[in-house]
Amino acid sequence: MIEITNVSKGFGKNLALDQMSCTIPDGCIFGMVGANGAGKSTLLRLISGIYLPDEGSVKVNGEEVYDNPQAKASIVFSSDLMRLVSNGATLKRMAEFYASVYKNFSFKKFEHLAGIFNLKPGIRVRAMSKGMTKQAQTILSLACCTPIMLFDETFDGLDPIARNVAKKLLYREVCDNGTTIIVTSHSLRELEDTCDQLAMVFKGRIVLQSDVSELKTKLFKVQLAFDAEHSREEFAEMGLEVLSFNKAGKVVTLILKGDRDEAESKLNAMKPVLMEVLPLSLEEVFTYEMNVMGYKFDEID
Amino acid sequence: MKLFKAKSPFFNGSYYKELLRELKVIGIVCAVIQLLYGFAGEFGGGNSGLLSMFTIGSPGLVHNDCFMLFFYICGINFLSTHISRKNWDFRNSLPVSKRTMFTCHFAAVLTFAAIIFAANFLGAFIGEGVRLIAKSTSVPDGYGISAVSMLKTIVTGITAYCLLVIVGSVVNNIFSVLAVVAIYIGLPILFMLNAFVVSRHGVVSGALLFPLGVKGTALASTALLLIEMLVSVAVAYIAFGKSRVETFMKPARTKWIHILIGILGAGCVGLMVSGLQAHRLDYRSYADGASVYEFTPWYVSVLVIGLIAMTLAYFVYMWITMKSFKKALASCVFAPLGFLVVAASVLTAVAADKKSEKLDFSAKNIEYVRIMDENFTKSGDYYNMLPFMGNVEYSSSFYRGSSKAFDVKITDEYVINRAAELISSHGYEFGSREQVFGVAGRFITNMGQYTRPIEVTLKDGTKWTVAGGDPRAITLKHLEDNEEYIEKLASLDRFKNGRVISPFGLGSELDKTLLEELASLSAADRAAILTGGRIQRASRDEQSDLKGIENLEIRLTLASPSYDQVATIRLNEKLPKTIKLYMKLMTERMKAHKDFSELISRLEAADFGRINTTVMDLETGIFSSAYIYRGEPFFKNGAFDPKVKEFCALVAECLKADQPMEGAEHRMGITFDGFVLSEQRASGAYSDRSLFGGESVTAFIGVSSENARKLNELCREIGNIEKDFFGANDDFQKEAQFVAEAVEAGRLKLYDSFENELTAENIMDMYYNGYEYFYAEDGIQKHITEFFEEAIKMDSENP
Repeated sequence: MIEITNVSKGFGKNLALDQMSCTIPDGCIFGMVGANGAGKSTLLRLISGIYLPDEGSVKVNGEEVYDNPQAKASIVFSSDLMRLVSNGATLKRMAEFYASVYKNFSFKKFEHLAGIFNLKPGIRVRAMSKGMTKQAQTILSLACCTPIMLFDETFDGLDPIARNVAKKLLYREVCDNGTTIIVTSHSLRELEDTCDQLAMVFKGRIVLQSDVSELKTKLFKVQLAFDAEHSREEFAEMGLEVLSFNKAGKVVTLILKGDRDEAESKLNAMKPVLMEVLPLSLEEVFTYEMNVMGYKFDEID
Repeated sequence: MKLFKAKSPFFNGSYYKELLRELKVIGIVCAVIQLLYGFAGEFGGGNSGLLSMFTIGSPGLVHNDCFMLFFYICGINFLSTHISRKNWDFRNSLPVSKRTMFTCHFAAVLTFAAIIFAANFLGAFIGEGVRLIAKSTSVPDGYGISAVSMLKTIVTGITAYCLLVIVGSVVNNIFSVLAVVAIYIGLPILFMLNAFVVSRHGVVSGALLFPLGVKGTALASTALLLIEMLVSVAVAYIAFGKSRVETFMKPARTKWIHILIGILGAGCVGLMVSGLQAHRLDYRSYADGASVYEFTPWYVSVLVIGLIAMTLAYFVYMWITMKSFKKALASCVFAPLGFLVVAASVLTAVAADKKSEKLDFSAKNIEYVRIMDENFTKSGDYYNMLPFMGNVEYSSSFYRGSSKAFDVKITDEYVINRAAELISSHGYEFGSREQVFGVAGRFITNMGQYTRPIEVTLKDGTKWTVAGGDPRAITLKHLEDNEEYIEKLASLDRFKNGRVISPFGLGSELDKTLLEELASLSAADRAAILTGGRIQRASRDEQSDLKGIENLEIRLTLASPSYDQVATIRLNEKLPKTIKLYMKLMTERMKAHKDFSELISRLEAADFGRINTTVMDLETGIFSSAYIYRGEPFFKNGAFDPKVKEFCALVAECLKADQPMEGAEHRMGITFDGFVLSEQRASGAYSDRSLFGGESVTAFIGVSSENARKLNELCREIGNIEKDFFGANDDFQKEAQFVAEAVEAGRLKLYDSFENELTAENIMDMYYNGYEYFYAEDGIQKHITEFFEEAIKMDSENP
């Protein structure tokens, strides 16, 4: 389990993380989404022990991570840019390097994954395209077989097929080995079909953290057509939690939060001419949640 | 933040192996280069052989630049892989603590340092083997890599490496590190390059980077170097452990590191600058080969200037990078402390100097004096033999060896007084200081290099060497009266059961007779004959020398059984009968040879390809050599120069006359070290054929005084033909002319080894004939300084 408690981290005048707290359970894919500069990468660097928090603590399985090789042995960090042992390093050379510091590194797994992505171990990393580099980094991280894997913007730059393959590999890693995976992205769409849990990072704070399934079922969109016009207050008086209300004549579109069956029965009681419950994308869910919390929509990428 | 977590391992074997892989390219390249250095050094490239490698304090050129560079590259490697912001994520996310990273990298660097060190020795061993197999006659130049100097390089290299790590730990950015390092190292290197002309150290010499290390005695120097290294390692270890990429250039967070680095840098720069200046101005050479820098007020000033320069540079750099005047100012918080360090350094230097000054060099405290050479004879003929001895005698290893060979302790009162006087006046000021004066100074320095240092042993056993110009001439004169010295020089005991080396071989009976005859002479007479009798060196080197001597026809050389001591017999009127017979034998063999008549006819017709002739005047001991070949400037329009013709005809006439030496006005030895004919074949091409089977031949003959004078003059003039022809490009000749003009104008007085004042003509003659040994009045230094002051003044007045 990863426990982040009241962590602050600043760089000069910029406060990257501001009293951030969260707990990441074992064996899940934890997605972090936020605008550029929100603090996602800083948080990953704190978890991987690269940075020392100015305040608060970052603990992995109860141990402080910073400059603690034992705690760090359970974490592999896949940075947004791949760094090499040497300029001419091949994929195999990188694997050997990782193997020298990660005791559980599996060459068998490495070769298997390289085969899946059709990457030759002898290829020089410097000669790879951006997408191939991301694939290589994903392979190397997965082959380290650590209980915790951190992926920073990993899906960025991958083609749709490679992205799906990568996602499947992450699923399998969690399913087979109970690995805890943290993935960051500035795009919700990248994460909505991948993660078990999602956190929204905004200005150095986690403003929202929830199970994805819970998020999706708690918020839903309903489109209604009535014989007469109805106001927002009328819906609220019925005990519905209305996050959004749009009216176009006698047609009303609502974003509601709460139990879906209960809401449907209450709305049916108003005898609409037409009622249709529509699914919400994760992006819409986050947007509405953020609005509720008072954040401005356009601040989110 | 805890720096020393108990659970964090100090060392990680697999990570260490990885770092070995990363450093292997530079490590192997450096090892190969040092291996070649070691190998080439055995053939005179910069190593005087294994013997000197194991002796302490081999001075002079040390080919350790590559080795030193290795440490810099390793430092840069550490910066780029472990400290630069680019790689920070990669390295610091790994399950290896920072201090383990440092220790592993440090261990990898040390591993390769050991390999490079071993490679150098391996190269020397291989070279040694090749030399023995090939029986190489080349003689190493005496300067070289010694184990101690290599170890010193390792120590200073580690310090430099750690300095880079320390700087990098503060700034965390490879470019910034290089910029800072440029301030710390580049600035002094500029000074160093400026002083490079007079520096015997390499461009990246540790001694110049950390001159503190060469201050004081050998023990103090070693201790200081080790302390420097240990402190640097400890600070680097802590600094890297404390380093954080997120605090890049944030003085508020790393103030103590800035203070530390500032002090270190300030002290370093100050000392480097002072060291360079001191090296140039206050160089001292001691008997143990150590070089130290004398403390002077100038030392303080350059130290302070260095600190100010460093502070300003650091401030400007911080201002540019931090874009804040206030913060940049704050980052220079070290400056006052830096001055304290400078003050401490000055006080230490003063203390060290006081210790030196306490040494009493007065005559009453001098136990004895030794001349760091031994080739002294009554008449000063030694100097005339110099061209045949080669430069081997001037190598430092020779001094070291020879000083032990004879161990003649001169207790002559005059010599001791003179030594004390020299030390108190300008005893240490010789060396290469004259070079700064420019080209003309170089000429005089070149002559000065043939001077002999004297070693003074104080009553407490301390030994000091005084490099000297005129001490030689004066001490030589007084050595004649030193019976102990003469007796030692003339001793034949060391040649018992040895052999006599001669080109033709005398046979064991004649050998025996020769030794008996020599033994029957008085010690003084024998000393006058035995111009060699020198050297206790490695027998290998000795054999190389002997081979050279054997090639010189006119020599007879006595050798001890182990070849470790030799004495060359000078052929003069005091020779015992055997030698006279030997000379006669050589002459007769030459004349009886089937090629002799052709030699005469070819000389008379001036028809030959090339000849190498030496004319030795047995009365004066002066040798003149002429190397004549079919080509410009000797051969023009299908004929030899008239002077060449005249010389050849005279030589032929003297040889034909066959006047015996006994009763002759003058006795001369004429040697042909090669007489090559050029004959045109039917095809039109020329082919070479050597007379006497290519062997050297010598005839000792009697000649009239007139012919002797003519032969000498013609021989010199022939030598001048070539010098005149190529003279336009001969800087050395220009320098000689410059000096000759100064002598002619009375601005400079120079004396020969007989203390005769030299004329401008004498100087040019000496230049043409290789007589490069004479002295300025009362020591070179004083007059050269005055001379150049005058020259500079004249130049400024008449631009």
